Amino acid sequence: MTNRFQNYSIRQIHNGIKNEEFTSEEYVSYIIDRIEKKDEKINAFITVDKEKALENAKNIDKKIRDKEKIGILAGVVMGIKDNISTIDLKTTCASLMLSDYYPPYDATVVKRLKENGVIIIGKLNMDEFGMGSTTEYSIIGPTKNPWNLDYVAGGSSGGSAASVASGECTASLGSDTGGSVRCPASFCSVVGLKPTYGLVSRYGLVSYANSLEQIGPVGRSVSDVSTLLKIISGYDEKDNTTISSDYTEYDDLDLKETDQIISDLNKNKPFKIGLLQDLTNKADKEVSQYVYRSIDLLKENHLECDETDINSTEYALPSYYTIASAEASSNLARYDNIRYGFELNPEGYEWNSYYSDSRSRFGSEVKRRIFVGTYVLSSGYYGKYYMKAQKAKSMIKHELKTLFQEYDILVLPTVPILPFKIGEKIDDPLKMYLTDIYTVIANLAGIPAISLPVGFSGGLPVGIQLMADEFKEKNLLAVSTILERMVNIKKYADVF
Amino acid sequence: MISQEDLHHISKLSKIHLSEKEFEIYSMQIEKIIEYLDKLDEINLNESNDYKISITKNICELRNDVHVPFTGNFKRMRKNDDEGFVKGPKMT
Repeated sequence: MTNRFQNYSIRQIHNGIKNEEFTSEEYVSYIIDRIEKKDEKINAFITVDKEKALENAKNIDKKIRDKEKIGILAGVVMGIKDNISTIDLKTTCASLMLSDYYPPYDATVVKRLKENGVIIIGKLNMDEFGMGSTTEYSIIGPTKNPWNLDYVAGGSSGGSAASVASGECTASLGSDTGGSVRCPASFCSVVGLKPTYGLVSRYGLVSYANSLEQIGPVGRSVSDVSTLLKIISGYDEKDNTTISSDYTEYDDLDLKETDQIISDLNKNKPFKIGLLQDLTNKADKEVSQYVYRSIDLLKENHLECDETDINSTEYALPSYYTIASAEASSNLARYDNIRYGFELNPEGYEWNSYYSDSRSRFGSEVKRRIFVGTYVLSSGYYGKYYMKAQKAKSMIKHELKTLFQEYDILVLPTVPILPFKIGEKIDDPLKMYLTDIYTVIANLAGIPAISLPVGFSGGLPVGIQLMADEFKEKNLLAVSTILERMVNIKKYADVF
Repeated sequence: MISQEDLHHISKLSKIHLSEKEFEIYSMQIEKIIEYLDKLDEINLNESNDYKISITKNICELRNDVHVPFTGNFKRMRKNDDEGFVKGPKMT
């Protein structure tokens, strides 16, 4: 049975509540009902905060009745990945190590959303500490793909994508270290954006690999993602890598005609799109055919497209796993199970054995990455791995910078394969790592990238990835809007 | 090539205890991963490229250290609580 709320955008929900077509409480009750019916199967949420969400909804309704000012996102219901700090709301990172951790502060992104009236409905499932590509490495078990429950939802922000696709929230936040927003967005047929490094504050994001990760929005439309980016981006004195707010002006793309968007893109010089041909051809046929079809659709809209390639991507994945694991081994050294963690009585232990015994309860993937990170940083291997990984990162960035002098947007698959069955790759870590082969490029280069749903193959979603030069999110969102209108893909999974 | 000895050393450095069975599994998996990372060996560190790491101006600026009273729930945050102290294992 369809519900009037199910395809509503952020703008429609906010306007509906503001114009008293329905109440915020009605909408939150619909979302809670949806979670109660669906989440037992999908497993997208780690924590649901119904009482607080209803209380916040009632406050918004009261403000409207009293003709008080409300935030520009008032009434929008969002889920937050469980590695983003939320005051007094458990933030576990899907790990036993933080199973009872209540942050004493909100992450800057959460603070900004709340200030604009967003209602936080709960915390979303993920791979432990963001390490994984399927959300199978979670203490509460895998999030299932809402389009077919036997398949993975992608990861590490699997809960963020699956909850949006299944209508358990309006939109969500994820974090993307090597594709963790884009991979699940592609697998669940929703839109996911990794912003330029430094555009969005990481204050309050539990650290995994600081030099690569960014918080990014997930939504059912490009317009929803654009609206959220506008709110969460910009300078934050608590994160010194953030930039000034000059880059954070985004158009209300949903209000613009396609012709107008195209004309704006071509305003200063002919807008040019490059298809990364070699990488596209190496993907599975079911995926690559959709990339070629998308290019055809863009050409139909009189956007100039031609083929190009990048050579240094062969080093991207080894470079990514060297740097990410090295940073993980350092960041996760803080978990000693003393100040917070799970119940393990220190009585009878000496310090080192308590420390190593409690840390042995990290999940298998986290332990693997800590070991790899420790190895590549250890004496005698630093120059062989870490230094060369940094060099590869610099080569990739340099090559992309050169390409962006000619092209405004680069197009490639988000993931080279279709979603696969739960458990299919869990015993072979290296096979699992290869899922990230096309997404890590943007993290290494620090550039923005978006995953956009473009079709289904055998009932499973296919996404394409668009990348732009640093701080050119505006172009990325504009081209995505054009393509979104052309493909008109279903982003609401109501099959279970 | 990752030897059992190497993994014992890494496990000690990482402060993560592993059982004998885990040693077997992890040494095989990590060896495979490290072999894959060996691809990086093809890169010549002395070969230059034009890209230089740029540091944004504000990265070196520190914000003012302003005292903000803590309003969180200490009791909820504290684990192994013992009359107002956090109880840890013995130091030897």
